[in-house]
Amino acid sequence: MREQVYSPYERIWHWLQAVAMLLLIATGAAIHAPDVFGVLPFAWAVRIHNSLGFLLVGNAFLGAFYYISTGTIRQYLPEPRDFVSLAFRQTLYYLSGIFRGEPHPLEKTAARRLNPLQQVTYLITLNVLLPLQIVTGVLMWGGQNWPHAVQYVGGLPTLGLVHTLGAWTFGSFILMHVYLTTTGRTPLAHLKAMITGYEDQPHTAAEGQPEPTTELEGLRP
Amino acid sequence: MTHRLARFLAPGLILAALPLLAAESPPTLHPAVLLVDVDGTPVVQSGRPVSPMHSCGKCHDTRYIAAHNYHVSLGSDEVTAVGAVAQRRAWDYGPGGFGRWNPLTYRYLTPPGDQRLDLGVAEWVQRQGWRHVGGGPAVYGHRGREAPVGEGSAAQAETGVDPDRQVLDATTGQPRAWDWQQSGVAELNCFLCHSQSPDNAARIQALAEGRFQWAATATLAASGVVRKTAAGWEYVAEAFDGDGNVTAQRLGIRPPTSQHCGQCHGLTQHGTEPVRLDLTLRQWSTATKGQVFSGQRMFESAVNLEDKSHWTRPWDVHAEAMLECSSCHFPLNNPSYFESSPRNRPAHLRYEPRRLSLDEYLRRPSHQFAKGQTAQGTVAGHLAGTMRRCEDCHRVEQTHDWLPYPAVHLARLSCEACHVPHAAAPAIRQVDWTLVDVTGQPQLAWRGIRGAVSDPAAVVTGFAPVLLPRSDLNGGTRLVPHNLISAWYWVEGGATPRPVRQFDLQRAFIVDGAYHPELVAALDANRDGRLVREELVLDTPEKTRVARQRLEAVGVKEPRIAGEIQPLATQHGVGPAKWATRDCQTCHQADSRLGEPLLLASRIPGDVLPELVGDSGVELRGVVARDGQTLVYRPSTAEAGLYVLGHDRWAAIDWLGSLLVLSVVLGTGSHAGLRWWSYRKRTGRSGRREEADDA
Repeated sequence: MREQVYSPYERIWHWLQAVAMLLLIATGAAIHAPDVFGVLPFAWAVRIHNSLGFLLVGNAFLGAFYYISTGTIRQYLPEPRDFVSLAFRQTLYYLSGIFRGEPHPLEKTAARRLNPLQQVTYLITLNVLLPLQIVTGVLMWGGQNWPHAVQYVGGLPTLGLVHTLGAWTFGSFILMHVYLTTTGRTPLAHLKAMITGYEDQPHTAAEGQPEPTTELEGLRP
Repeated sequence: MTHRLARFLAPGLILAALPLLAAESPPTLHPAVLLVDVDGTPVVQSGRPVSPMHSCGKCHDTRYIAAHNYHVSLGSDEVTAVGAVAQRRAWDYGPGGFGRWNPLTYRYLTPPGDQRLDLGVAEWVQRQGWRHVGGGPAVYGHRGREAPVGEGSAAQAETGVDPDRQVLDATTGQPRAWDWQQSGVAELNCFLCHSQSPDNAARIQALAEGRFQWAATATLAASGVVRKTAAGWEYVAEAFDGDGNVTAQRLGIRPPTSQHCGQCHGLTQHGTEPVRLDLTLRQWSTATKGQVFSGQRMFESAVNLEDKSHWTRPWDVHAEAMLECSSCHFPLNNPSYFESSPRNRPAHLRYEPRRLSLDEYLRRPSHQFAKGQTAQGTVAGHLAGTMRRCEDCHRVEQTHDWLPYPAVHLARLSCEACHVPHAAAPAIRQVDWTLVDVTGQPQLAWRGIRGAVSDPAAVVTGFAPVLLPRSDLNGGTRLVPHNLISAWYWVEGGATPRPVRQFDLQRAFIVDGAYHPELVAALDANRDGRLVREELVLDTPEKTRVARQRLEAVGVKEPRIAGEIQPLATQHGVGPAKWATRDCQTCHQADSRLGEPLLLASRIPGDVLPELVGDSGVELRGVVARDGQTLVYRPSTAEAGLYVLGHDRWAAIDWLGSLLVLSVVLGTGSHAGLRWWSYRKRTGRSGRREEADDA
């Protein structure tokens, strides 16, 4: 059974953010270490980085408006009830169940797309890491135009430190995020869902269909 | 037809010839000058030296001019007790050429009260007067303005040490009385800067010969007013009218040009004569900073530049634009240039219309010239920043619209940082007085030249000045290009240290025109019985010990080697805009110009690390480090409080971030591998899906 788990806007928003973040990391690397990653002229890397940064900020605000106004934001908020036990089950699944072909402890549905671990991760990423990158990035950009203004927050040395650390963390997050997309019913199930919006849901026993098999279903060794 | 052609061409030819006429004929608005001696008698009658103070003083207030003139005082009006200013050397007692020791000129002007004479005032005039316009200390010595140094009995100088009245006897090393009555004093020499063709060589010779009172007269040698004879100087009667006046045209009286400034400050040149480098201290700013102030295209010069055809730019774009030194370094009360400082102007005023009238100015023209703020220009510190800066003439925002983030670039970089990226001429890099040559001179090393400076075939490469952070008067800190000159020398004494006298260095190291045998034994590496340049270095404790023993043997107490680094800002030699640094990655990359090491010394005498001269106003935010046998300075933008994107990185953060990413890659990779392995184990080799499909 196929179920729509992502609306068209959510998918556009996601991919726009993804492209922006990847390009931000690439251009950021070109600015940070032009002698290593300098495929672009430095000035171009800075211009593109700044433009992408503002694009990402704009998209983030639009996304926040969408998620708040549609109530979808609830999906990102961990529910206190059973949170610890559910998170423990999810952790156990990643540590052992996944290797034994056990089903996901929490099946992904349109109403509940995120497991507790994802909720916590996104909560930190979207409420701490992303704002931190936005604020430090905007201050670094502003510091180029108003050099004395940023002295109150430690100047470019401090901002550069925090922004760089944030970029490394974001890079790590994206790697982890991409890997975890392969832990669906099939390695590409989540990815397909984020492209098409739809994801195959497991058939229930009542319908006389087989139970979910493994997350690597569909792979030919 | 020919007649019409001539009528047509004549105005053009006359116009074309005007510059030549102007060069030959100085302005004639100035009235004829009655040249008089110190008693006010026309010199053509008395035959005595011209007194500029009295001759020019008939119309101009020369006492005022001399009193408002840091070129005259050279800091003698700012002297302190010896060693009183913590930022200066322990033996300095002033900020200028009179009281502030300089390792390039070396001889220490002995202050009153010292019991060991090195350089007396008279010898100071003889040796260093070539960079002094006269007046001030050349008249009053250490006495301020109390009385001319020549007044009083010479017998007074026979007791004790009196640097005002004694000089060092080069034979005995003992003080010897100087006869000021015979030498006279070197008055403020107006002709040096205000005559069309001052004979500076004759002036310097007169000073060196101790004929101080004749120095101003000698300056007029090229004007035809005076000629040199075997007995001295003789006036040319035909040059004077019946009253003893000389026309201003003959004297060539005119406002100073850059050529005049260049007589003391360095190589300045207008005209078509190819620029030639002297590479001695006579071209001071050239030798110390690699600067040449000339509008001539560099490839047209007589300098053996590397890749010469490439250098199509002028030596200095401001000289090419026919600016003179005085365009920026103008007299502070010149009504044409005067601009009141925001610091003393009423806050509600944008413009101060009150200024001197022209006649008031000509009567009392201040000779306090607008000055900038440099690492080396410590004299008249209260006038620092009065100069017209780049941004006072150039509309920066209009010419830098291509520059990303001009605010931060202009706040962090001086204009010179990008517009003087290259000092075209060689400059002194290292001065080593720890072992003098047989003539008593130090060993100099230069940067920006391949080969010996004395070799005409040496190739001039120029050099990239190092960018040092310097606090400006507005409270900001900007990177300014500098040359760094390192100097090593012996210092005598504990509580009251002084540089060891050149006389003692020679006496200790040189015997009958050759190096002392003990020194030869210690330093002669190839055992050929003589010391060559490469061997003249105290690079081992043993060699240093022998040299120290030699100094102690001639009476030098507690000799020790000291080292210092003098930064010299390179603010001239500005190239046209297209020669300025425009490539972002010049600075924004790991191996950027901002962190480029600068060779300080090819050898380290006594293994002493030099320290930055304290009153330079700049800081070495980086590391002075040994690199094998050499000494380099590695600037650090991070230590300067800057964070230059692409250049500055927090290594710890990058390591931490790399570890984080690596951990994720390893973690997810291992997890994926285990999933794959467990899946294969569960489903068999061919895979369960295939089984299912088969089914």
